[in-house]
Amino acid sequence: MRATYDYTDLDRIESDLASFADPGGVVVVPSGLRAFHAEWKMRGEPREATFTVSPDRTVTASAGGTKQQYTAFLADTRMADLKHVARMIRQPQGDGIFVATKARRPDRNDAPEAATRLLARLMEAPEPDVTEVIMVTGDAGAGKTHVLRELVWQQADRYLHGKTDKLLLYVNAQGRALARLNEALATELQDLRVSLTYHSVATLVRVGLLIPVIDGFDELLGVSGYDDAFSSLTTFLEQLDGYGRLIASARSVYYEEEFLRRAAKSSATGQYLWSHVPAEIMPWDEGDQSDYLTEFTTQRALPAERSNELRQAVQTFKNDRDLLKKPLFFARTVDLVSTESELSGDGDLLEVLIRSYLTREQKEKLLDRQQRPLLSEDQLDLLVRELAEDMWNQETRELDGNSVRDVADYILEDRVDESERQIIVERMPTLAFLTHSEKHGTLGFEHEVFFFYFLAGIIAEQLVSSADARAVLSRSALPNFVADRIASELVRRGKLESSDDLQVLLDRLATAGRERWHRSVQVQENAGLIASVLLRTFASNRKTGIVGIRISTVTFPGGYLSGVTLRNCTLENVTVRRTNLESTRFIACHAKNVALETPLLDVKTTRLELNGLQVPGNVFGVSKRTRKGTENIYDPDKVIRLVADCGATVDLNIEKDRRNVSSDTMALMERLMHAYDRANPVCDGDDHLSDVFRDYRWRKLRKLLIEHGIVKIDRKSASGSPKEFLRRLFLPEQIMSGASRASDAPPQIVHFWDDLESASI
Amino acid sequence: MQGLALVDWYNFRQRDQNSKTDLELVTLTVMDMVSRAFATLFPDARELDLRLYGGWLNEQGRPSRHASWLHGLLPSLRGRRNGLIVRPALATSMIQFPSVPLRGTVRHRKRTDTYEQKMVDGMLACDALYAATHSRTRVGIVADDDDLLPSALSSHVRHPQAVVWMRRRRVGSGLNDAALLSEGLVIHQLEI
Repeated sequence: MRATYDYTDLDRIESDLASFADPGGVVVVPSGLRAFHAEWKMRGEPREATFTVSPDRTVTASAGGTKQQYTAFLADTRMADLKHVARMIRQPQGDGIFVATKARRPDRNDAPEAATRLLARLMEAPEPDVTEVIMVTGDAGAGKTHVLRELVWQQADRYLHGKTDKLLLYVNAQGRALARLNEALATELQDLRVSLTYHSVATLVRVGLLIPVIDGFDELLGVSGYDDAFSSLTTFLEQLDGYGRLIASARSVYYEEEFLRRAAKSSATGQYLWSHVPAEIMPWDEGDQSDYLTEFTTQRALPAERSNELRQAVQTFKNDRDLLKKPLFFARTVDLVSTESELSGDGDLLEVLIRSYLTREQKEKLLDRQQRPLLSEDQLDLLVRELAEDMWNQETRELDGNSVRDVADYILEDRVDESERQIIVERMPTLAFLTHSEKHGTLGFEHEVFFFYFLAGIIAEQLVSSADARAVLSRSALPNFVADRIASELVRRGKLESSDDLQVLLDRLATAGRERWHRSVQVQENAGLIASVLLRTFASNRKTGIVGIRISTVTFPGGYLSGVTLRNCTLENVTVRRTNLESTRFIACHAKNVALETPLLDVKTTRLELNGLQVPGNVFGVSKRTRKGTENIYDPDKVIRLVADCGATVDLNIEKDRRNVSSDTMALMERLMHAYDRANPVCDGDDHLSDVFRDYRWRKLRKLLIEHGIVKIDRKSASGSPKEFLRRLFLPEQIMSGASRASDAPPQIVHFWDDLESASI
Repeated sequence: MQGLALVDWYNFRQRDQNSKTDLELVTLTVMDMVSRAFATLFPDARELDLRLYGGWLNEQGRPSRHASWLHGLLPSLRGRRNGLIVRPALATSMIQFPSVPLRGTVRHRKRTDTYEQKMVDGMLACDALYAATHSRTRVGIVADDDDLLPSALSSHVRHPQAVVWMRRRRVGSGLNDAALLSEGLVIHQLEI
């Protein structure tokens, strides 16, 4: 808990108080060198307190005859009333089964452990030097939400038992409206029915009393309406002013890295300070599955041997072993096999699950007064699909009553009469994969996986029917799961059988991304994601690879093209962004306006015969695997060598553009850039970065970096004495691009490298 | 086809309308009036983004009290209305610069303990011009006073079929209405 402040004046405390005060602000009267008296109104009640900052910068608040530490004062019932917030969070939970899903830190070699334990340890660690973003990644259905909700509940419980002074606040960023943090935060507070306001959350986070848990963080990286959703996150982080901690979940590492890239851009301009800690949700192993089955049979009072029978029944889905490692799928499959003995394990697991649910609901729940089905299975399927489409178009995950009725009327008008439509609308929330929110009177999918399943069907349909896919691809960032489902659906329909089929689909994706508008970046990324899965799927059973295909106007957003061989193909206006190309082979291909942004390469298995690829002009760093994980390489010389080793055509005269800087200094610069990949600013005294700051060249290098405005010094008190931080003012790839004389780096960077060359460090 | 309504939100609120319920009523009324106008004027429109302009961020970049309330309210107001998917949102940055939230659109005057708006009309005017020039959407400039008249006229010139000035005042009652109409600008009277 932050007990001290680096305030040289008391402005910050005044500003903290203002975030709790009614309009009209805070009236401040100095009462000594390091003290002041403040008066303000809160919910119409007059309040006053005196604040004193001691020489060691500990802040004490005196109010109503009581002296408290500043943080205790803010948490108190008369201010944030965090105990009440904790009580509201610790509402009784449902009686579902909780199996401790495991997680690990991918940047360490630690063994996986219970995710809630790992996260609890990370958030209880000493206050970070700069705002720390703990990023939890896991695919759709991997159990992120379950873990985070459990963590929030447990923490509220610990808070109420006086075992911690930090409280977690769950924020569903993928719920009522996509991609606006401020709205998500305001709505969560409203739903908790606490008097804590949106204004004061940043204050409480900054002083270390509150940690927001933002679920669905990746959706904050998309476009919503005319807004860049990331700006709502930026505004929030900016208010933290480099203090505090938050936990965020994302569905793939790509979005984690995308956050780091965008945060780096904003941070380079000095807007906010952050560092990053990754945590990865692990798939369920046999032990986890076994624990679940034991709990399941116990809860339902089934005989113990039933557990084994269920396990065997689940294992018949042998084609979907990976899917069964995800808690959602395992739990749903167990649920289904426990009631339906004739379930076949031959098909696609999700398809089997959805079809079984649809059949059951159609036959058992949606019945008229004579107990006859109101709808056929196809009609029910169409209705649910339309609901999903309307949600996607409304850019929300919940539909209000009007919308549900409108969709039902539109779909069923000619099929069933009005009174039956009314019955269907009323019963929709009881269907197995739909859910009703009492608070908001809205209808949503019980889990995003079900929503994504129907959404994938809609997008596949649009690609097949040659409809304008622009709108459907522009709504939000599509997860990998949806792209995989789209490919499965296209294969199932026989629409991905020949090269011509593939070309037709790629052309439709290209057309969607061609028009320039405020969402074209999102359309191109979504189109690229789908294109990469189509290429992988198509290549998977063709030994000769894909021949003579044209790929254009897409961005491959992360993911992988492993195992894909492209021969005599043309790539035009394509960006490959942090995509795994380790076993991808471009052979005799043509490239026009193709950019590679830190793709993952392996000189042994990657081929980059991309005639027309501008090296180094259009290659912005590369990534390669090392014993410690993956490592970004920005040194233009190394980048050129690596892509040349992968078969890219490189102008041999490029050597003349190389700076005369020693390889040791270049290595030092690279180590510094790796540190900046994960945080900005970095602390000059950080023990973890001793390979940079204890290098004997560092002092001279540091001086040059500061002189040329490449980095700037920030002084900040984290815990104890003030520390010096070095804030980078350009992106790592920009800084390192100056190592080549041929680059278009900004003048400060060019001058820095000029001086580095002559300084002969 | 998409529609874009740029709403000078404080034009539609009375000075004494300060409670949360008042704000909800004002916003609902605006949404209803504007979506009905779009459905009438642009029958091909299917979706409507409703950008609400006002003093939403103070000098420190913190949302105003009204903005905080609206943040909690708007998600539940999104949905279908008059046949359109309507998505209301607070305009805190310009369309051209979505990643730059503009601070200080509301400022506190300590001397008088009052709040005043800054940059709001300018922001709306620039967005209208930008949208008329760079997008294929239908644009409605929704403002009762004449401050946004110049921007309505300029935007109309950029994309004559796409821009409409929507207001509650009767068409013909404005000092410049005749001139505007002769230039071909469509003025639409909003009905409650």
